[in-house]
Amino acid sequence: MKKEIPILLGLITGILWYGEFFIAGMFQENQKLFFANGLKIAGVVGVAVGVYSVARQNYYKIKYNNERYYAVLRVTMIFLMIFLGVTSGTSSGTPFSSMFMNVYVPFQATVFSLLAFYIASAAYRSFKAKSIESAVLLIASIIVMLSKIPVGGEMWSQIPVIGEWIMDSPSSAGRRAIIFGGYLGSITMMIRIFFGLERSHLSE
Amino acid sequence: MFSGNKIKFKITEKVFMKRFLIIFAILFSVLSIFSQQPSDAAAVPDSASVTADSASVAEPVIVLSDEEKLCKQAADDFMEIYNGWDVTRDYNILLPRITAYADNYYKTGTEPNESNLKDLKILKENYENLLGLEISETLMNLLSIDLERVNAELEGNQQNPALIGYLEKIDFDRIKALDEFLVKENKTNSSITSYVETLRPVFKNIRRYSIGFDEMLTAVYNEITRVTDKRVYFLYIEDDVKNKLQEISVRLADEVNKKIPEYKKKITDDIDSAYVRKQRAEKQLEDFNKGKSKFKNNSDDFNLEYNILKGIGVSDDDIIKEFQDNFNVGRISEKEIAEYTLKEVESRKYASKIAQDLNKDLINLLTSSGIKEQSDFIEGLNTIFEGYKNQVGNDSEVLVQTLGKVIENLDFENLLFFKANRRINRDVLRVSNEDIFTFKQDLFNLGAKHLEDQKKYLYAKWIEARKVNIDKLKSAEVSRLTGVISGFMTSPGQYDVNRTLINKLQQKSPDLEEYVRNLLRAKFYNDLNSKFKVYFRFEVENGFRKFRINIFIASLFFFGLFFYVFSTVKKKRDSIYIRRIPGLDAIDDAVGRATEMGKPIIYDSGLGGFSSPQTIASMLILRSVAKKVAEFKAEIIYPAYDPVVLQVAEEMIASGFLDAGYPEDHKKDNCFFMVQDQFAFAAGLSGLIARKKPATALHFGYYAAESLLISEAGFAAGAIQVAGTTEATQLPFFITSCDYTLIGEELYAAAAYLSRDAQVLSNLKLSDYGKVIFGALFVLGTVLLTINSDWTFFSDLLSTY
Repeated sequence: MKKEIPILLGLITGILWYGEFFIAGMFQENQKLFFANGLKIAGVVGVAVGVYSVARQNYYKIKYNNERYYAVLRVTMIFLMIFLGVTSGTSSGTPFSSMFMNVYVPFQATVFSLLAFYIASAAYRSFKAKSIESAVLLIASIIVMLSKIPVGGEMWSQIPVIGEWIMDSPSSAGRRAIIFGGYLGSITMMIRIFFGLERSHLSE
Repeated sequence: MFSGNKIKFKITEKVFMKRFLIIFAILFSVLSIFSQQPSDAAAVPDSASVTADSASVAEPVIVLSDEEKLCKQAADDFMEIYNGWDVTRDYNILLPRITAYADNYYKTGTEPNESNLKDLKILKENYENLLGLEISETLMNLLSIDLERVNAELEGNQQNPALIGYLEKIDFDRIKALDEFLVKENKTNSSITSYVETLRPVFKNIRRYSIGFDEMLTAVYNEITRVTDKRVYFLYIEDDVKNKLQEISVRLADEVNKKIPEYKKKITDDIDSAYVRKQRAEKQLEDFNKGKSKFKNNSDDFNLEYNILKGIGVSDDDIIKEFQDNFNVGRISEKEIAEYTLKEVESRKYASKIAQDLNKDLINLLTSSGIKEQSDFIEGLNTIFEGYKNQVGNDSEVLVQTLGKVIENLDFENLLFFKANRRINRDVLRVSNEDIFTFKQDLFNLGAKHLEDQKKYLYAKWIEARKVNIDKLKSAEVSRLTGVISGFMTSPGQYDVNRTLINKLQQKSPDLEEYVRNLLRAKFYNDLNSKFKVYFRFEVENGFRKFRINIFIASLFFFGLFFYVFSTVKKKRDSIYIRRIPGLDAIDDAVGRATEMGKPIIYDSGLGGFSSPQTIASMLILRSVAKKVAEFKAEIIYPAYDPVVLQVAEEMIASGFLDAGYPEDHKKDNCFFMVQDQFAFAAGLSGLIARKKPATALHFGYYAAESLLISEAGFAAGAIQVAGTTEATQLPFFITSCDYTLIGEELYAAAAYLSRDAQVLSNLKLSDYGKVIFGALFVLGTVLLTINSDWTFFSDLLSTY
């Protein structure tokens, strides 16, 4: 029963959602709301699980001096934010909001801005004509890069046109092929789960 | 007897005709008289009855059509449901809550009005002092503008009756600009430093209370929605309300469904008409291309070309633009100038004669062979104009202005069209045959392009007409009918959760109860109305969506194919060919490397929740990887982005260890929740990788901008990295930074590949079959459409609406 009930639930839910695409009606409309609400509830329960996981993990880190300082810092910040939120609310102007806007958001922007340097470093490593394929990639990327900056057009008026063609035709076709393959793979996997043939997620 | 009868007959005939004419004349006269008067005698009552019946006369009798009657009935029934709702219960629940929200806002810390009043006074004092100093003009303007607002607030002209010093959006922007400018000016002008230091905290403070006020309004609105919507929320809608709404919707749906034959006919007619227009455009283009010879490359017969272009619908503007592009001429054509000249001159004393003479002279001048240069032409013109000036006298301003205008606007080359049409001296304008040839070629291309565009446009229209289905027309009809029904409903009026409500609450206004009740009524009315529209829509669209039949059949076909492949794979498990996926082949080596180096393996599944197919696929891979890890006696660490996925991942790893026969080796603490925020997760994972220096890092799942941050961290740590995602935008980053990358559907096939389980191997084969089948359909459709654009069978088959 431990396995059959989840499989049965999966099958029923699968049939409902499969039907929702083809059949219009109030039942289907309610079904969408029902599952959306269910997901929200599961998400809320999930947060509790997450908090428990973080607390447990950091408790052991502090106890056994395994990256203790990181753990202390993390737990302190978590409790500080909880404390600020509970005592003064989360609306703008409160200490919670100030911490969020003035500490968290700049950190977030900092991590995001690292991307620019990583792109430069990754591009430097990958732009090597080691084989025919990589040579093609290298040439194509140089043209595309030149086409995006004014100097490209100044060098030769056709560079922007070629760059645009590369993006619109071969690159776009390749991207679509990947997406198409991805969808097919996804459908196949879903069919397996739908018919209960894939059970590894049920620990079988 | 015979003759007597004859005479008698003649007399009778005469008399009869005479009497007939008299009666006819009388009748005609009577009718003429009565036709001048209203036909209904009751409509012209005497003075006494006017007073008595004034009410009935003032209100015109409205005759409703059947459809309107139905809509009115629906509206009446709707209003009955609405009127049956007692606002008292919700009022009793909500009033204390709304009051609490407002009180909470005013009682948290310092009282907002008090604080803002204090701040306004500080602003006023400092602004005035600053204006007395030597400051830049911009700063002076900004201060003056805000000072006006501050003064108005202090004098009692509040923008918001519920909060003194409340900032509108525009005030926010102004204060921000002022704040920035003060900081900027402070760098060069040290005399304002003390003011800047005083003002900046005040700005911050005053902004805070305004934002808080808006947030309080939002909270109140959400609370009201939560309570009033309860009765009509879809999942918990009261049976009584639901049944009544459905009753109304069924009646209206019947009315809409009656029109189905009409819709079908309309769809067919529209498609046919679009097809005919499309065909006509194609034929026209074909004829145009065939008639290319009509454009005599070297002739001067511009009129012929012009008429042909006009005939196919090319606008004058396009032709003129083409002409201007070719000869780089000004915006005013010679035709306009000539028209202007004639019009202006004709309206004056000597207009008619002068106009004719001038026209003649201009033509003579243009056709004159003595003119070789532009200056010759201008000189000629001046001579003519001088002559005319002498003729009419210097006081004739109009003529002088007109002639001046001609010279001012006359671009020498502008006269080309004029000249060419009249076969006049081409050498004057020095236009070569090559120029004319190019121009004519361009004219032809312009016509061809125009027809080509028209053909494409009409083809798109035809395709569009074919996409229209009954459901779309029904949907449009539903919108129309709901509009008609709304006309018969009586709305409770516009009441919103705004500053007026808060003001009334604060002042404990005597009409507060009525205001809140009306607000709740309006809210309930709107909620009920939106629910009714949904019920009506679904009642009409109820049932199978026929326009998705192709997808339905395709999905059934796919199911069938799946079972066929599944059974075949099971039977021929050993002989079946599975293409190699290098990334997955490398996993064994990568896990072995971790064992040899005594370092852990870090596995993450990206940002996806458990509803994401990529995350599900990632979890399936995780189990196979965990099994290998257990076999190799290595260690696996799984940091989670989503707590729900964490639970599944824990289970997968435990199962993997169990599959390998070493459940006791599984360390539960190695699976943990990290954080549910994109960049925090990226930072946390990068940090983990940097500290642990894993031998192997595996990234399978859904990724966004953090993909490169994570994989570069792995690269820097010297880990062997294998990644897999179907996100086309992130694949280049993984390919660049990782050793192996699973592209697209390989991610879904990975679990099957690793386990070589017959049940899941079918996944890979089915994906391949699907690609072959759909790829073949794409190619076939493309080829057929290229041959004949009317052969749209395959594109229809693969289209979704």
